Amino acid sequence: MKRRTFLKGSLAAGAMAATGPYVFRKDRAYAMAPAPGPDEKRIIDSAKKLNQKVDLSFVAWGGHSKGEMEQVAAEFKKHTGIGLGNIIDISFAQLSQRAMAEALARSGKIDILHVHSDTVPTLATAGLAAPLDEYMKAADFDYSSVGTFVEMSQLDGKTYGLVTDGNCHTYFVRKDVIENPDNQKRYADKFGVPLKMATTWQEYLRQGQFFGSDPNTLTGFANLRARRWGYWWFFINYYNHGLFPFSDDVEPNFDNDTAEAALAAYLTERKYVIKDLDNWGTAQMWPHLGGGKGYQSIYWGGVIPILENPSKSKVAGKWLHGPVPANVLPDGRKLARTIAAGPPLLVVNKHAKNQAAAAHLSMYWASRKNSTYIVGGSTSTVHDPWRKEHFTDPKVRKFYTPGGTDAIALNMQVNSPAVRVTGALEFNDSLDRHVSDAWLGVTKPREALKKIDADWRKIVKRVGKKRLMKDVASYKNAMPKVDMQKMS
Amino acid sequence: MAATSRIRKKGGFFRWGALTPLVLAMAFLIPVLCLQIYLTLHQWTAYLGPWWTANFVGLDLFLEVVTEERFLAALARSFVFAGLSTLLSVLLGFGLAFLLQKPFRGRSLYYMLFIIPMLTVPVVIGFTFQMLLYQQGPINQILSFFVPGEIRISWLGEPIPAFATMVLIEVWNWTPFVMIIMLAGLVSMPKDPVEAARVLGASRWQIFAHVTLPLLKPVLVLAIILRFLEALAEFPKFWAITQGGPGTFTETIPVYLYLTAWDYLNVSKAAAMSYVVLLLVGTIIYFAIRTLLRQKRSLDVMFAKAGG
Repeated sequence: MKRRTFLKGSLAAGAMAATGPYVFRKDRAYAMAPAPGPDEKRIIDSAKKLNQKVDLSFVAWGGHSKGEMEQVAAEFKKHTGIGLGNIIDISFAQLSQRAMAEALARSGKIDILHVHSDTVPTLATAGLAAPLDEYMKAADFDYSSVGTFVEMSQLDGKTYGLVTDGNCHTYFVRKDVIENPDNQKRYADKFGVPLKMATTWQEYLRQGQFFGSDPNTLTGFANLRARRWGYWWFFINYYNHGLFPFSDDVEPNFDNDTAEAALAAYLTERKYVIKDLDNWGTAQMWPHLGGGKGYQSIYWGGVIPILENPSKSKVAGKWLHGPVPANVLPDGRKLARTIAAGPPLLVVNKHAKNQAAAAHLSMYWASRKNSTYIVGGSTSTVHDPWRKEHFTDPKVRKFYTPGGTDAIALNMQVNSPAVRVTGALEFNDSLDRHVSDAWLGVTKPREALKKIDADWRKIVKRVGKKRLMKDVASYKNAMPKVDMQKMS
Repeated sequence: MAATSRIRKKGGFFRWGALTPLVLAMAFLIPVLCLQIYLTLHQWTAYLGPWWTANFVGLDLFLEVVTEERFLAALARSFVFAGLSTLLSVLLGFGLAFLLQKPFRGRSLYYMLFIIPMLTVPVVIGFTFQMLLYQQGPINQILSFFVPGEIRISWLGEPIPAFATMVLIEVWNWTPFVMIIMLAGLVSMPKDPVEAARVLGASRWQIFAHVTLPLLKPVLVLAIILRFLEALAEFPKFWAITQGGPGTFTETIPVYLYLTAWDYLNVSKAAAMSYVVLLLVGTIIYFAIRTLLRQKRSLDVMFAKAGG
């Protein structure tokens, strides 16, 4: 082959590679988005009354807007003239900061923002998040979820965001390891009970410790403990001890024996995890679990399609999915709680001149049929099921596996938010910092809890008790309504 | 007309033209600094209302900052980080500059290779090193070739190794900067004093210690100052690799400042923290410039004597 021919061929291939996916995705956009159903038609009719032809700008959590969301937006544009224009993809860690920057600048140039549900009270207080209730009423929008996801997008009875992703921690265990006769025998000999998927927290800890911490073979636990991540898991222990972070008059609730017991449960894993875990994020955890090196984990449901995909996981098909283990309280009652690791919400910018159009596109995305299409799509694995209909949809069940889908549904019933009051980021970070120090052994557990209380009192003083008392009521409303998961 | 020609005669256009950027910079900076001072005297949390409605708190925030254990710990970490990384990068950069000062075959290639770390985007460095530094990652695997048994250092998972790793990454990233400065100093150094010392029978070490090093002192001090200040302000790598963890062992001043301003949205406290840091850094710069001028003056005297 001549050098010139080779160069020409390379150029052509490069151009194809660069433009091909874009061109094909655009073609697919109109072909694949579902036709509007009755719910969607009501939103379209309401949007048509706005008589607006506009392309909206959207600050999105990187990757979330791709594929199905773009296709649904294109379909909406076909019917209403309202579509998606500028998409600003940013990382998860920057969402709140970008939203607050807009709250201060009030540029109105951003119409829709993807934010973390915990920040809703802060963004509402800052005057950024527009209440959507009037638009929802005009379109007779059905907004419902399994568990309390809807409540997590509300404050003081008003809805400030619409869910796009049922981000919930679910429990999974290696089936092949449990069923291994040698493991069965050793476990039964040691503890006098059969090895099976843990239903209580006490069992969960015992099994994790039993399998130990050899990174070359298997680690008993595979959760996150890194700074700015670990506190999600602490909340599971904190809540499953029957605690709530604030009293009704907004006094912090950490410096007590029950919270110490919760922290002790959290810290138990310390001896049985590999040291690297102290700095791991999701990007490191996936390969560990997918490489077959983790026995069990309580982790975000979006990991299921990856772990169960043979092209991405060495242990696909070797998992048992189930409800998060319950803590047995001193009175014998069983209490199960898991954590919503910040479900992303669509928040409409109060300062945007296209507020109404933005609210309608958000509703169209979150509608029954379209949200099912988005959740069941394979472009982005980050849209997990959250509406009741999602859990029976064949595409969703195939993507998340039947066992995985049912497990998410079970866990969502006991799913709790992290702190969600005005100033949530500071409350959560203070908690995380002191829990991290306790994890490393720098601070004694009780000392760490005392420090959380002291820090929180300062924040409460700055934010104001009156404001927080209202927020705490909404926060309580977003807590699960049941102690244990039930198949409905 | 007469006035214009007077200015022209005195070279006024050039003088005023040169001052314009400074005047413009001040016009921009002074209002910002004034606003920042205003904020330090008022408690403004960004989500609670506009800045002009914030309560006056006087010097309370400064007092809070300078007595806060977390701030002082972050400050200490920043200084240790900047000190260690500056020391190591100056030693290595100086060494590399020495190796590259004389022409040899492939010198340009080595030069190019050595400056690659400096040209890499800090966030890319951060994520790349995070992947390389796994317990079962490439760096431990490579190290395991050279020693019996398996190396399983948790570079980022344990407090002291994590801090040391951040220092080493900073050294890797910025040693080329010192190398370039020192190389420029070596190349532009007058050759006569070295030649004279050689003719007088001085050993290589004597020439280095008594001729080259004193001549290079102003350049060396400049490299140390710039590197130290840069390291003190390092943020992206910390944020990409450790986010201040494990625990709070790598929470330096820029990380804490970022959290205070952008996570806690406590802009007033962040402003007060910035002023305290500014005061400290300003003091360092003042003494550094004095040292630099002293070095320059002693060199001038030395050359004047040699010339006389």
